[in-house]
Amino acid sequence: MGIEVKNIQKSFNKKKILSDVSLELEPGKIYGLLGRNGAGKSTLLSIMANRIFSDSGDVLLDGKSVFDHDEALGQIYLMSERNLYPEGAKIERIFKLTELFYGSFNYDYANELANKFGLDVKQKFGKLSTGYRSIFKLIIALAVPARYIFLDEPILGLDANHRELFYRELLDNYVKTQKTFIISTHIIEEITNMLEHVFILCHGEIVIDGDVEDVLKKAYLIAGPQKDVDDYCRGLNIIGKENLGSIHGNYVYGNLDDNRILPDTVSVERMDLQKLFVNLTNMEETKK
Amino acid sequence: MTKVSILEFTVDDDEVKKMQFNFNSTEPIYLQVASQIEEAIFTKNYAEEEQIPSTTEISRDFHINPATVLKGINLLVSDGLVEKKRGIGMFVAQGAYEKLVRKRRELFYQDKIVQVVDEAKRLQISKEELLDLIKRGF
Amino acid sequence: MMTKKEISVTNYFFKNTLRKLGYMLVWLIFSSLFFPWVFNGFNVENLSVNNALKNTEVGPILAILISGIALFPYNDFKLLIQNGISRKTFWKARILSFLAISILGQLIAIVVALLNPYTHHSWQGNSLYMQVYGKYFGSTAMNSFMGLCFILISTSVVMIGAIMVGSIFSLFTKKAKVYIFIGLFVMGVVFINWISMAAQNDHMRNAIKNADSFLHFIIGYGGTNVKVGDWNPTMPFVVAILTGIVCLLGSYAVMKHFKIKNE
Repeated sequence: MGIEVKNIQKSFNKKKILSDVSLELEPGKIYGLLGRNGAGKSTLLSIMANRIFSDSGDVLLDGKSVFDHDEALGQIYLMSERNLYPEGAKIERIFKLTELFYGSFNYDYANELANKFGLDVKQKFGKLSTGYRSIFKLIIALAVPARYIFLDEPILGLDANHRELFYRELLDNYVKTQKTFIISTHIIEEITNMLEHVFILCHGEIVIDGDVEDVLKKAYLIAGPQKDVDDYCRGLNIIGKENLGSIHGNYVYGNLDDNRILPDTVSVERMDLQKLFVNLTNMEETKK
Repeated sequence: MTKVSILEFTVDDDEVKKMQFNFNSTEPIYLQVASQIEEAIFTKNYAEEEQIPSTTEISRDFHINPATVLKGINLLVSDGLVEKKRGIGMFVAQGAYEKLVRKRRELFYQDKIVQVVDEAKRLQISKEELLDLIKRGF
Repeated sequence: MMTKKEISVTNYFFKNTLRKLGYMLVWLIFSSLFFPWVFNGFNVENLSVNNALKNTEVGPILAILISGIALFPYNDFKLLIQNGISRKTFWKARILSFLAISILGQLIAIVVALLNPYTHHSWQGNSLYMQVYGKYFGSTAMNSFMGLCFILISTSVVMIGAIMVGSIFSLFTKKAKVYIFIGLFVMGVVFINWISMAAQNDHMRNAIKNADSFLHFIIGYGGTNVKVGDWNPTMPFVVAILTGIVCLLGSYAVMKHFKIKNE
């Protein structure tokens, strides 16, 4: 059950965008797909929603390929930066079309959300600002009957109040419907605690795939005098370094060696997801 | 014990309870959820047998995955501080405050007293002297 | 059998195309009144509605407009893929809805011709088929029936052809389309040039002769001793149906490769 992404590869003009990406989405969880701009997040989601084709690999929903399959595609809604709705259509008409194509649509809920966000449903889609286009698409994403909702940069152009409102409504919706959400973004701090599982995509490869709690358990900041820190960290997976005056910090991802004695001068702290992400993706950057 | 004002209830017209949780970013969130509610019970912001916010409410208000919130609350349930009442919600258990005080006294002994005694020994402070010091501190 | 989704999408295309067609017709009627009025020096008296009606060929106009709409599938594709509709369903619904509209349009055109006093309440006069093949069968009823069939089939084929051409162009980005248009234009010029050169060359003249007789075969030309009107319609039917099938398969193959473009 769920969605399986198997060995997806994709190049544009000979430039590799995704190299052998595999992942699984279980029903009823909130996933994060994190990556810097150009890491391949949108490409991956577009392939998963069958908007574009991969060069190789497959995407299965409940064991069936989503490629050109009405039933599977009808279980997926991809809210993307790309605007695929007719510019001249009114919001309420697009609600109608969504109902027509997805088979049902929660109008009461959509109107309630539109009200909360201050979106005028009589407005034409093409007349909306970037922020309100995001809001409009988020409303559809929450009110559509699909079970797998992909949100690609959902908070694009949203101000703080609207973001706050969106997070509330998303979690409320999640609790009530138990749908699967995948949130793709490069802005991590605000959504970290909502995620159950995280994928970090870097240069077309999944570098982290795990439950947020498990991932953070292995993310450390070892700080102290440089020599002591480096001695303690020898052989560990150092993903970044930082200096603050005489205090030196090594960011480590992976298990620490329990047999090593921690010097009095050295402290072990935890790293949050944002820090882990920045360090991991910076490291990959310098490696390339 | 640092005094933190943790819960400030305001009841909106749309019945949303607003609370102030202070989360830091490095400790596991479910532990923080548990300790924040525990603290609220300890400071009697939640009286015994009073209902605490639901998983959904906490999840919505603080943007935390409901599974994480539930994990935190379940810690309190297994400690006997919080009880689930099927179909109604979560309530502070009877005797929860007593239990907490007992637990924190034990922690106080282990975390603080043992340390103080150790340090006193290193400073060659006698038992009587230490007791005098403590009396002075009161 | 059609699934619920296929019915929904077909329905959507049908209504949406009718709406577009309606807009186009309104503009057409407006401009066909407006321009003569302007060129007549804003004089209403010289305007002859009769004349306009007499010369209006409803059938071909509808066929051209519908085919024109069929040429641009990409916006519909965008909306449908956003709404979880597969390419297969997109294709099926598009073909079915446009077929329905095309046939409906031609039937309406015939009704209009029957009501129109200027065509002497008959549609046959305006039909190329009736003029060329209209006396092939012994019975008038049979001839008229075949004529009707031919109108419906041939306009459908043109429409399916438009769907295929439109699909092919939808694969390309705007920039690529410009290059292709330029390329096709140059090729056309070169081809015409080549034909006129070739006509002066014996070897080529032979080839042209072959092409000519092939053309005769296709249109069912009966030779000089067979009067126009008595020509054999078999080959035109066969050719139309074959072209239709090829365009159907072709458009399906092309639409399978539709994707959201990066532009």
